[in-house]
Amino acid sequence: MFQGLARLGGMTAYVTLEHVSKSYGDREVLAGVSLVISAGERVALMGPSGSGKSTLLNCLGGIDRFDRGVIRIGDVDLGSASGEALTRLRRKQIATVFQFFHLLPTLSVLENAAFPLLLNGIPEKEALAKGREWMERTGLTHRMTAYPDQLSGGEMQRCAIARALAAGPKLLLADEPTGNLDSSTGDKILDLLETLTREQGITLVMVTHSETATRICDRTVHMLDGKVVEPVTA
Amino acid sequence: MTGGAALFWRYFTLRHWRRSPGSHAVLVVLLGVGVAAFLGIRLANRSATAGFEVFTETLGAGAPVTVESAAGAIPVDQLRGIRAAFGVRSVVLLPSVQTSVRLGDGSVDLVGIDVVAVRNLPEAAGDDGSLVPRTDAESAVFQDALRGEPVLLISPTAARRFGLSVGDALTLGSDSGAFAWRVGFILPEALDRGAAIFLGDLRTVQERTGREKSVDRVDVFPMPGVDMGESVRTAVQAALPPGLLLSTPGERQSVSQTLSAAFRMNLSALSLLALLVSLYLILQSLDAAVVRRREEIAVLRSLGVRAEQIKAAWMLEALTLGIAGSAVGILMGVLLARVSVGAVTETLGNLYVQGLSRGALWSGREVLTAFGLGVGASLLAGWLPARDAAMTPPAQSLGRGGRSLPIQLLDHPLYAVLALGVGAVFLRFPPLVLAGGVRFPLFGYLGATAFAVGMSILVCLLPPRVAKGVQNLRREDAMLRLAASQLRRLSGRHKLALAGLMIATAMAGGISLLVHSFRGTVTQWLDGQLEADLFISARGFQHPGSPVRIPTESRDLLLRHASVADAEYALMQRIRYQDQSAVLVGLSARREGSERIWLHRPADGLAVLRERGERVPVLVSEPWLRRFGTGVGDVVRIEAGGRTLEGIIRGVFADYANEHGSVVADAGVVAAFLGEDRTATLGLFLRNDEDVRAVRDELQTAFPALNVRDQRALREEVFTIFQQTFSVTAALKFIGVAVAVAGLLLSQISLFLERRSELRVLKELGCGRRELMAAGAWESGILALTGGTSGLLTSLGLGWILIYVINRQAFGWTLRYAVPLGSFLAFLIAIVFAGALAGGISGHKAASLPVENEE
Repeated sequence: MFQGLARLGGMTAYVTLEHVSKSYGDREVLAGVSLVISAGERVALMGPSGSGKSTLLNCLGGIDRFDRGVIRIGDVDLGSASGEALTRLRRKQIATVFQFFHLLPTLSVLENAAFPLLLNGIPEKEALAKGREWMERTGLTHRMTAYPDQLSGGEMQRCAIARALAAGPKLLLADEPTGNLDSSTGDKILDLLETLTREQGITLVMVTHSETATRICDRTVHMLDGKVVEPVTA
Repeated sequence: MTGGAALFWRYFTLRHWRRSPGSHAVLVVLLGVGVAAFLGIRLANRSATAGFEVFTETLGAGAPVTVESAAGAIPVDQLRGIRAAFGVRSVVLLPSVQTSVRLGDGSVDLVGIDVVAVRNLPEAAGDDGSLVPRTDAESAVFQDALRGEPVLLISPTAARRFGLSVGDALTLGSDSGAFAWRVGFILPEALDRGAAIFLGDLRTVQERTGREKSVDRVDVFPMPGVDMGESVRTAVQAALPPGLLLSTPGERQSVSQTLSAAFRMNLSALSLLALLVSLYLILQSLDAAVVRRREEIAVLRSLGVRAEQIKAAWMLEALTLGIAGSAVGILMGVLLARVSVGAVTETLGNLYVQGLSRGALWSGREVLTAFGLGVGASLLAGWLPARDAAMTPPAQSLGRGGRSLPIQLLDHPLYAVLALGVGAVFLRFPPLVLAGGVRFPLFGYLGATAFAVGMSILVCLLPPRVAKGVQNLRREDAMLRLAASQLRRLSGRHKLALAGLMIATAMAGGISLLVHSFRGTVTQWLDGQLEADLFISARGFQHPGSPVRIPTESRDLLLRHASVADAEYALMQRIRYQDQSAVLVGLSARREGSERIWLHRPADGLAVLRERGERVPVLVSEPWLRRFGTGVGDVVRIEAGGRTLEGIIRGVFADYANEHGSVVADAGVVAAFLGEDRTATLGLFLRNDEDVRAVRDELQTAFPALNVRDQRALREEVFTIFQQTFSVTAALKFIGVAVAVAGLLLSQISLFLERRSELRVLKELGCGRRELMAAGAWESGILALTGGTSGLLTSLGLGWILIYVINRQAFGWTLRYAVPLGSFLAFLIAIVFAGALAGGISGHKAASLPVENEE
């Protein structure tokens, strides 16, 4: 039904959630969420703390299981996918940008960006060359040999974005990507995210508390008490 | 190495090692210490025991077979019988004697060989380094010796040790007096095996040491083409006079190693403990590294790295650590062996064979074994942290709080019951009997291990209760309340640290209890053993295998001395009984021996030895009883030199002088059986008004070839050997507990790292460095109190197993169980203090954690 709605709007659904529910003990954190996100669409998820947006992001990333309902990324049904299939999905199709960057401390900036490619079996020389391209795109060419503990917050997030996009994912999940940055740096990071996702045709789902961050998104989905409280279309 | 594994190794393992070389170097050294302790002790053991063979094999000159007596020397008149046993086979017999003689203040080995026989040896006998003269100079010395000149061939070690060169004159003292000798030839380096050996002509040596009537062994060299295979040896053995044994070098090596096998096995088992504690510390360190690097692991997981790949990466890190640590350990182990070989050689010499030299310190097999064990230990230690790392969820899940690795074994008391039950079954099993009759209490060790494991599971139930009790003492203390709350729901990490500390304490306490009981028992045994005022032996005599004895004339003079009211003396001879080494003692008992420790005391004590009947009354020691399975009423039959001693066992006594077993008969009976009356030890009871020290000094001056000691001096000597024997165990005990406390520190640091979000809250609530240190100190202190107390209680059981199962099976000794209460209390206080200190340090470190890391 939801895919049908999306098609009616002339778009191809890439992410589909149908009546997704999840509980921690007695507490229901997702209560029948339904949502359709088209390929290449940028969606902001907003809502107060405890509304379920981070849990929803975790379920979309396949790192948390849900109790009921259906989540489909492309043609993969996350509910019935094996652990191995979810790992493959994370490696090839889904990337995540975190609020606290989570760069790998032993790797240089360039190596951090190239690492997902190495994981996918790309030869080191090729992976590093591609990593360098992403250094240029994210404006980190001058910091390629630096290590994470030598970077500013903005530089760390640029590096995290380069790492997330280097392997060519189709879906980028961003968990408050500007939450740990000052407003000026945050703006630049948002611009970078918008430019790169638009260029690459990547679907973006971004959890944020900031109204200004929603400016790069095609629509905003509000959540409250584990439910989507806005219309499902933009 | 697969591509993925190589990638992780290069990008993570090596990078982390480069970023913090210090902490990784410590880990490498920790493993190195464990490997080094194992290898060092093994190499030192090997080197020391190699000395057993040096003397005899140099003398044997590569003879394929040797004839020896089952008890004592071979009477010269039996040489004809030996010759006859070989029948028409063309062989050269090389009889020899070996004895200790005095040179300056020390004693050296003097060997007499039949020079005529040496000249007749087949050429081929010289190929493997025998004494066949190969140079003119050597032949000339043999010619001189043949003419009866007192010339000596000496080993290069002897030349170096005593600064001797060809032509030098020297005086060697023996029971028969002091005689001048000349160094005629220094043996080639190829013949040197590290022992100071002096060789002379058989007849001259016999005359100058009072050994004219016997030889110690006869080496047999077949002429080319003469078969000396097993079937021939069996036929010759059957034809030899009764009491003579034919042996090959391999068989002799096995016998000599058997002498100290139990001692060495137990030392090896203890050295393995050093490796085990390293394993525990590496486990803790790798576990702490997993906690520290959990964010990195989580990010890798979110990037699509599989759990198995994470596990493989950590195992690869453990492998790298194992290889590096083992390599360092091998270097340290060889150095340690160089240092400790002296101590081990001295201890083995004191306990088993005097005058041991040292063999080579390098053994490829031992090094490979140590390397394999080091790598294996590291992989074993890495398994649990690797599993924990692989279970780390992707990054986003971290927000839900830290997670401690679950250890199922420590979670179920049922496993404890199972381990205790298995342990009890193991303790019922007899020891393994290895080649040469060596008894190794494998099941005793397994039972002790199962018992300790069972108790370590049970102890994990205690901390919540102990914490509650301690909290009730200081209800207003907020940090104690916080620490107690952490212990109410014990994490896997808590349990691992607690179990490790408990086992280490139990092990250390058990060993303390054993040593304390041993010391107490030996003290009581000495009271029964050392009743005389003065004790006399020939210089160089330390055990029944020593060739030196008190000359009969000297003994008779001493017995007639005006100050002497009474005396007891003993003849001692190492014998072969049922293919095993044992000791035959001839005792001239004057008293009943009521102070002795008896397992079965004859009605009239030692006086039973003087009874005359169809069979000779004998007493046997406890190790004899356990090794040969004979007891009161059984018959003992010993054959040697064509004579037979048939005795009936009338009593069993405790004997801590040797673990091979002694059979005791009246001195006169033994003298008749051995065909010689040379006394090993003599105890003098002085008249009541005599000044013991004055008489001691007088006798020492009058008999310089003898050692005259009063009771106190002898006691001190015994306890010096005692301390020396147990010095290794004391060191290992200390290492074990130090490692366990270090494990507690690492564990507490990991726990703080895991609770970083909680730490931020505490800091926001106003907890400073002091409060965090207090929280850490309480938490670790309570764990240490629980682990220490339960460990010491467990050690009561472990001590029981060590005394009544392991010690009895390995050595055949019954010890009186005694608990060292004072040292236990001091030990507990030290553990609790060290634990609290470790917790305080971890709290101090936690207070320094940067705030920005505490998301």
